[in-house]
Amino acid sequence: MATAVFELAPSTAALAPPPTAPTVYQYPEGWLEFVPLGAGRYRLHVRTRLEGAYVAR
Amino acid sequence: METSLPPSVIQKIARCEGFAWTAEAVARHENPAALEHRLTRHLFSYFSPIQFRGHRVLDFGCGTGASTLSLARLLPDSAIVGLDFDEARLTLARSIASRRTEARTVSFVQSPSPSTLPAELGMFDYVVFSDALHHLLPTERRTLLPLLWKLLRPSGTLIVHHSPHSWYPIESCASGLWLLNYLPDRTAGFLARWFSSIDEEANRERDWEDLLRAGVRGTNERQILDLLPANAEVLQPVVQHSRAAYWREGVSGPGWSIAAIPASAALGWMDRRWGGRAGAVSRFSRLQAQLVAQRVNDVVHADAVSHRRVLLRVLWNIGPLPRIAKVHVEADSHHHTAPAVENGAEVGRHAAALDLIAMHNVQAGHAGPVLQVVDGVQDRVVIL
Repeated sequence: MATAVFELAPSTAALAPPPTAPTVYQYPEGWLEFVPLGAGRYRLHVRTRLEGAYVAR
Repeated sequence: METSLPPSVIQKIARCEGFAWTAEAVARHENPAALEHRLTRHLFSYFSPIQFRGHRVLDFGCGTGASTLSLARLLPDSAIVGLDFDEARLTLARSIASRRTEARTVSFVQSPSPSTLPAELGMFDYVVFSDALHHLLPTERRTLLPLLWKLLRPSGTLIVHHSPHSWYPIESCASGLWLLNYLPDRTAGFLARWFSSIDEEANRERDWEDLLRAGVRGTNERQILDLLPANAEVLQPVVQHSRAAYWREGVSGPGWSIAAIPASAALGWMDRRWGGRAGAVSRFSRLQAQLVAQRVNDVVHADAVSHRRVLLRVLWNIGPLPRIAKVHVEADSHHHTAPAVENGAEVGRHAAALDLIAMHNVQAGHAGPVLQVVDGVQDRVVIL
């Protein structure tokens, strides 16, 4: 399944509606990846940009 | 990490808490091991769930409400009030609570400022600081602790849960730096800004007050006692406690174990000196200890550490015990430690937190102890 990527400014309001496919919200500080699991649940991956590299949190 | 929180809420959490703490904040809501198990273990190692029934519990510094909702799940027959001064976090807490069925006993209240309490807050039987006290500035601690103490009903209990211990050799909350706890503020601020291993980038932008707010100065039993009226006393733990173990358990890696020996010896001496007030051997009756420990045993996740090793530790640190019928050890990972490594999974090298201090408000004529300290040591020893 393709992953949608959105680049957001830090102040951007939360997006709606909830994603139905794997989706990455990319911020200057890092990114959030949501993988829908069904029944309103998601697998969440958080990556923090730290000195140019992404660190898994 | 799996979550039932919608992306819109998680994005707000990321904005409120910062990206570095997003996984941690979500895990506190979603992963019982991140907060709820610990809270269960610690609360019920001192009190029976029945003792909370029908009582009011204040969750001070509730943030996004993870601890408040955990308390609501653990204490379904109590009224839980979450208090915070940060409006954004409280809004988020209410939003998350609206999705949870256990929130029917929960209300959230906003403080007018970080150093004052709302009027009409009412009296409480328990005041809980869960992962919160170390985020208060020193002036706020001096102001708020006595105020909160006054809100306690007779024989009420103040519970300080999971605040970094300021005697610990590693400042494990805001900087991850060794010996920072013993340095003067100016030096500590400089080092935290430029040499942190936690929140490196954020710390560079922080002044001393911001670092204090991030939790760079932990707390300890003496500090808390000094801020409370003389009727506050240490409630002796059922779970054995040794300050020396803070050092020993936190010291890992090649070379560092050498440093642990004198440190542990020094803290062991303090344990013996102040043991009557803040640690050492339980004064609970054996029956009561057994009952409570049995409850603890229900929720403890025993880890694969040999009993022999534990026994040695107990004998070395705490001295002779009446009888060791059974020893459980748990490995309590600590979220404050350094960069987490897997998506939201709690990892930790050092357990530095002062996990629980419970203080009864002893009224005149009411006998009894009353500050209770459970350690923040990775290996907890429960004597049955």
